[in-house]
Amino acid sequence: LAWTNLTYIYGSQLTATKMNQLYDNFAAMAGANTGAPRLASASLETALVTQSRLSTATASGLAGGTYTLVGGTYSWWTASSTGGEFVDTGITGAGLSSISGSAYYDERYIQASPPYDFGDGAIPLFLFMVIGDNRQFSAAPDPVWHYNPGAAHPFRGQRAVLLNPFSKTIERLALMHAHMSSRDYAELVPYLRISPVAVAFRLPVAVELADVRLQ
Amino acid sequence: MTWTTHSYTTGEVLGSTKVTNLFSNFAALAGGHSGAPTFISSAFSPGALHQSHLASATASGTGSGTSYTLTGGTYSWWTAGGNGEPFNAGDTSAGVIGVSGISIDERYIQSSPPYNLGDGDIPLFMLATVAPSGAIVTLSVAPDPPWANNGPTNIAPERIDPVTRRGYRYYAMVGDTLLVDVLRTPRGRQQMLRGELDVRSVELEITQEIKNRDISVVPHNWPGLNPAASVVMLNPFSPASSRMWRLYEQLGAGELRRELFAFAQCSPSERQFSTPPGVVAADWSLRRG
Repeated sequence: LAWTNLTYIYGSQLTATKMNQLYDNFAAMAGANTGAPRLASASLETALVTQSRLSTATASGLAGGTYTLVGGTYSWWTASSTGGEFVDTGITGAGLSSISGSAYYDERYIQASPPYDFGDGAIPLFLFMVIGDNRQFSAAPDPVWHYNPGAAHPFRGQRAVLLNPFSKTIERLALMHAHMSSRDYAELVPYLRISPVAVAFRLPVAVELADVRLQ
Repeated sequence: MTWTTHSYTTGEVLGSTKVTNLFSNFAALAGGHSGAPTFISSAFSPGALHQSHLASATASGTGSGTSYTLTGGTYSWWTAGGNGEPFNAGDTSAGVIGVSGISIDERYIQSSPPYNLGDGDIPLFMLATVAPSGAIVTLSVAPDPPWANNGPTNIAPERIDPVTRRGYRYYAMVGDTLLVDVLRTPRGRQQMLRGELDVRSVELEITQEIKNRDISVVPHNWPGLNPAASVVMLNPFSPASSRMWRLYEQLGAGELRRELFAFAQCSPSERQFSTPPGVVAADWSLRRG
């Protein structure tokens, strides 16, 4: 429904059309249709934004070296050692964490613009794995480059592949994702078998691709 | 106040009822009543949401020799002040930070207050580990319990009934079991990945039972604590705790934590109240200082 600007002039006829347009303006305003007024800060109750009002998602990762937070500077995150000494060597830039040793990362971030469809259908889950190290991974429903311009994957200084997001395995993993922490993924990742990708799909960044199936 | 659907036809009488109902639709729209259109994200002016629009709370705590579970879990902004010990406490998980010997201050987005363990709404959760003398060793202070934001069960309402104010959420279920419970085992996760589970979505009311469903999973903020350690929940219904709540509203959790840590003395509670498993009810008083 479109927003209709209405004026009522003294002496003019109040028609059914004008009344229906007035009524339809409620839906047009809620739906942010063109021309409708927007809700300003002062019109909103305080403390109205609870957890479920925020458009958030979680990201999980296990990485050594420098790790790019999927949610960038919109990320709440915790990191913890995978076992040995874990020394945080500093925040190396907005949205980046640098460590010695390896660490689990768990993020919750405010989403920018889901879903992501680059021409082959909406991608439900971006699961990256480091080439040559089947422990390091990053899983999130948003692509890391969306919050960190220039990042093709989260593992700075390493090579990584994106697992075919249109495979059955990733499709099902996407349904589980909200219930999975980094340690849950770490248990699961060794069971994933990666092979050269059979069908190419389009992405806005140059990133290596791979097919995946559950062992 | 309910939303009234209207249509106007030429020639009909425009009665006062219709015009009044149309006027009442403003309140029904703002109140999110049944049938009213709901505001989409872009209906808000860019940058309309400020700090005061967030339903947030502060939490504060200390850890010693163990990991520390953030009360706000993954919805927490947190800072930690250390005593020189490394950022290292082994395998921890989402919302749990691997630090020891530290003080932590959080601000987090709330999920589903109020919380009631059966004895009345609890305004402030004060959990502590105590020495045999009753002195506090570690402490956590927050209006939400740690299990609310860290357990596997998501208790954030997706819909709130505008009349009853009760919250509802859609849960993924496998039969009568929540999917999240099935996925807690490696076998369940593999079954899900193999497409062997029939998952359906069911809307449930977020009752106190659901809010406290994970109380035994995250009974307090110190995972990995020595089982012999004494963990207490300070009586939230005492006059002193009521005064603490007043202070919390003005000063936030950090100041309370510092105050309690410096001056509080614990003793066995004279009043019985429900506590998490393994956590003992305790009274507390302020020492002169």
